[in-house]
Amino acid sequence: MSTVNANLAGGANLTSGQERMPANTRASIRSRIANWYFFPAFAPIIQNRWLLLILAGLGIFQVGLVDAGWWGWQCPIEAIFGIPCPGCGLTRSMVLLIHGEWQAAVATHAFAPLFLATLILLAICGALPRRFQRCVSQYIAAFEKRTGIAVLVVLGMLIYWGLRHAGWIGH
Amino acid sequence: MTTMFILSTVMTIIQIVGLILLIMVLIKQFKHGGVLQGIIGLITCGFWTFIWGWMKHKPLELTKIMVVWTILIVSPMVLTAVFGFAMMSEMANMLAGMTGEASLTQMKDSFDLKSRKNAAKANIKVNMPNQPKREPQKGDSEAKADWSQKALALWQNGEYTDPNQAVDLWNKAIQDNPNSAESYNNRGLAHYNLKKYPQAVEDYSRAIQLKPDYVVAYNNRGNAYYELTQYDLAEADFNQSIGFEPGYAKAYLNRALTNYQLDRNSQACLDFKKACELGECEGQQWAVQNSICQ
Repeated sequence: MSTVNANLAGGANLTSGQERMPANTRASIRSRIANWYFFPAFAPIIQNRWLLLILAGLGIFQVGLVDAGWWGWQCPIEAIFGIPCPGCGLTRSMVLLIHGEWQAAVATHAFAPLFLATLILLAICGALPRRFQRCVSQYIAAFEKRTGIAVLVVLGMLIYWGLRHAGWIGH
Repeated sequence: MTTMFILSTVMTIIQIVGLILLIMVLIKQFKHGGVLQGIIGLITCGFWTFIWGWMKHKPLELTKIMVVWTILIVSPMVLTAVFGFAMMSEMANMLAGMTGEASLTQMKDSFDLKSRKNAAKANIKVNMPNQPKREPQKGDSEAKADWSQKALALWQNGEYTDPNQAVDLWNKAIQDNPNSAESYNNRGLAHYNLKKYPQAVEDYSRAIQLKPDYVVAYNNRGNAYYELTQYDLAEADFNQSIGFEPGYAKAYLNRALTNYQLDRNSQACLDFKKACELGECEGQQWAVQNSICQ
């Protein structure tokens, strides 16, 4: 036991060497792009219980409002200019999904299944104990870093929006 | 008909003001949150911008804007409750005609679940400049002494020369004594060197569990969270570390960098200054050179 204790000081000193110094503030363009592309976007939300609950709550509230035919969140761009943004139609599509109308849902917005799954994941994670929340977050962070899924989804939505407006994919 | 006209005028004003506020917050989001944040805000009908605005309302002084925007968002729901859905639906169709849309029988909606917590800023590298000082071996167990001693011998110039071997050695040390907080902490450092940050977090957490006032383990876990870009958790750990040991310069330095990543430059400067007062001045020099602090 005393042997281990002898190393405790070593351990503490090991630690004292660990710090972060801003040695390289000008990262290369390649590494900047890599950082931007493989940056975990979704995982940090799961670490923040309040944000998680607020997002899941607002999401469910929004879907509920639209399902009930009430006035939910309105896209200001579409309301003023009449041009739907890439996210317009997601809630309506999710409501259709919940009612089992898969074809109509995908026709309304192809990304709705992904967003509905995300909403369900948020709601589940909000109910998880802190320890499991961290595990899920770490797993998702690793997945996001490996695949760059956040940027892929954003690009996918922009391309999908462009194709819809070009008339190549039906609204 | 008069009610309808007033209602549609009110709604038009609400929508125009709402758009102006969205643009104002969106500009802040692009500026402080990064391009990806801004694009996500744009493609989600402003929903993520709204959430982000509330998240950042204090440091960016957006409270008034966000309160007004929230009132504008809630007011159509209240109006629907007051005037009834039929009238609101008719009025929505009327507005749709004004904007040139084909039809608007349903209320338009949008929703986004995707987000990014923090901007991808300058990539700040980790530097571990100090050579550890080791206490002389006083062991009464050769086997236990061996693993730890060998592992410590691998630590040079602020990192393990062979982190994989260090992990193996600390595994054996932990097998010998599963209740050694320091062994977990040191294995965490090896995982950190291997860029296995989740595993490092696990080890530091175990170390803290075994020794709840383990100041350096909090600091190290903060660093691992920093690498995982979980800055809120990193900050919480540095706060803990400073709480236990108010003279811990490296924790101030690390918290300063975390604040910098969270766009809280004024707080970052205070922490850089404090770290310098305690003997760690490289951070402050860097911040001054890069015009972050004066």
